[in-house]
Amino acid sequence: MKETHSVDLLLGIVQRLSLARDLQTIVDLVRHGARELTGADGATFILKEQDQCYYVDEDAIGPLWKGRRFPLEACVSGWTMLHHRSALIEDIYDDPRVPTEAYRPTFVKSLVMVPIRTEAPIGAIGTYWARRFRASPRQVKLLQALADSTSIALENLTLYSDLSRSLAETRSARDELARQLHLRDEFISICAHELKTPLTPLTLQIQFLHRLLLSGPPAGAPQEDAVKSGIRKFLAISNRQISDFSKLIDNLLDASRINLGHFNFSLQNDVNLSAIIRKVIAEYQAAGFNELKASISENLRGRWDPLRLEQAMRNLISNAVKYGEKKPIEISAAPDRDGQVRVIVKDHGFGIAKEDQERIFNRFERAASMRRYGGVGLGLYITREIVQGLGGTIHVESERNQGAAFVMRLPVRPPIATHGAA
Amino acid sequence: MTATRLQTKHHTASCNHLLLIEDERDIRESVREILEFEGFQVLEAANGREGLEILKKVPNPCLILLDLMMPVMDGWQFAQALSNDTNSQAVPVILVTAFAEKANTIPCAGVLKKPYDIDHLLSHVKRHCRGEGADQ
Ligand SMILES: Nc1ncnc2c1ncn2[C@@H]1O[C@H](COP(=O)(O)OP(=O)(O)O)[C@@H](O)[C@H]1O
Ligand SMILES: [Mg+2]
Repeated sequence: MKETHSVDLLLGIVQRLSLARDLQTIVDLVRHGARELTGADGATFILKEQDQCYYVDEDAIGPLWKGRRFPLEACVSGWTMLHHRSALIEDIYDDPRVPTEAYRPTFVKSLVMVPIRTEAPIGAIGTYWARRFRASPRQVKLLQALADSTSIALENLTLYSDLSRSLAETRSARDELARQLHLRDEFISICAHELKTPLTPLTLQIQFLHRLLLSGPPAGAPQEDAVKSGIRKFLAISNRQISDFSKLIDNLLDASRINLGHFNFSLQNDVNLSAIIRKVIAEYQAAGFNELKASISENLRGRWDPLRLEQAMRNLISNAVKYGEKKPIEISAAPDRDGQVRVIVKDHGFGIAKEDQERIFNRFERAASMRRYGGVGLGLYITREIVQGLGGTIHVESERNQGAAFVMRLPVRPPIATHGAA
Repeated sequence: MTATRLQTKHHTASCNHLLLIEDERDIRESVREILEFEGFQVLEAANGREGLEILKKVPNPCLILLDLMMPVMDGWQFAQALSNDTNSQAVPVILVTAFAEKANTIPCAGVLKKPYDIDHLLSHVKRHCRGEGADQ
């Protein structure tokens, strides 16, 4: 082979090695390149695996040892790696380093083997001839140059895969951040919607009353009666809407308190959970929702924060009413093992898919259709904070379209150091 | 606007029935009270599905006031179903929503942004319907 030709060839391979981003590309470049550079009848690419030589791949006129493993001590590639130097073998049947048994089935008569990364070998490149042949020092040098470039390419590969792993990690962190920002934007838009909704009937009622006072009632009806009944209706609607309004604002404030670490509890002894639950149920019944079945043990008492517990119960029951498709709701509360009480709020609505059951307890997270249900996604977040703040747990059991059961367990006596406890 | 007027003319001009589709009970009650006071008749539906049921019996109200965010069948789905309903597809629709940005995906005769006032409500309604006690 002409000198300039083989140098050009080597440069070409080195350049392509420098661009290789996966092991297979390197293996292919090396096995074909080694054979072409030396004009050999075959070439192998070998990697060191602990105390074995792994024949990764080959390019040869006949089969060699592709896919096989040999102990380092029992093959020529092992010898080069152990001795940090190349092996030039003119006649394999005349050299003690050669395990002739392994060579007999092959075409090989002579070979040159060079280590990859001489100082601390990680593999080897073998070239083989079907005849007795003594490679020139120049051929050995070219092969060693190829092995050195291979070593750099392999190191780049590790660096590169570390890099792409950390890039992937960065990317997923960035995606998560983008998701959080998107949730927050959505939250602001829904929040505006939720604040405007109670304002609508209030505005209409105020203006209607104003009209009645200015222009009088429809023909025939006495103005006084019309105004009186107008006022009555206005008061009823105002009460409902203003209470929705302030509940929404309370939720916003609580979420921000949680975020700032200022979410406090005022623990009291002998808080009557049974009474709290009955009170919330009565509220919903008074508002016209009659499908509430309660099975509440008497006198579930403990050391809790009564207002926070009421808030948690109201959140769970309002969700059951809102997402329960007007079907019956069952609420139970009873003593549980280990000095705990267990409260279950169960509806028969469209339920919650498995993949959403954790997520919905996080801030702003929602799972129902945004085209059908308003809501800012804070109710369960606050509820979980309350339950955990009192040392308890909450989870949901549900299947899609099978309703949902929120199960809350509370210790009668919260462990000390309840966070933020006042 | 011209198109809207034409559509109204093409429609039964003497009709004073409106269909109000809105899931919030207090809004429904307030709107009904105001419109009845002005001599209109209001048919109420709490979601799109109920709205379609009413249209089966009364296919030609003079106007539909349509909320968007509703359970069971939302306003988008209702509008879709309406456009395929040969008996009622000519009825003009006014969207009533706090999500005014999201309303532009539905073809309609007008948009009322929540919270709105009585004057806006009445001016939209009077463009399409005639109340019995109304002046003209
Ligand atoms: N009983 C329930 N049935 C079905 N889905 C529910 C139920 N309770 C809560 N969810 C889902 O969990 C989400 C988060 O609930 P929540 O934190 O109370 O926020 P919001 O009700 O304001 O959306 C809801 O948007 C809904 O998708
Ligand atoms: Mg909720």
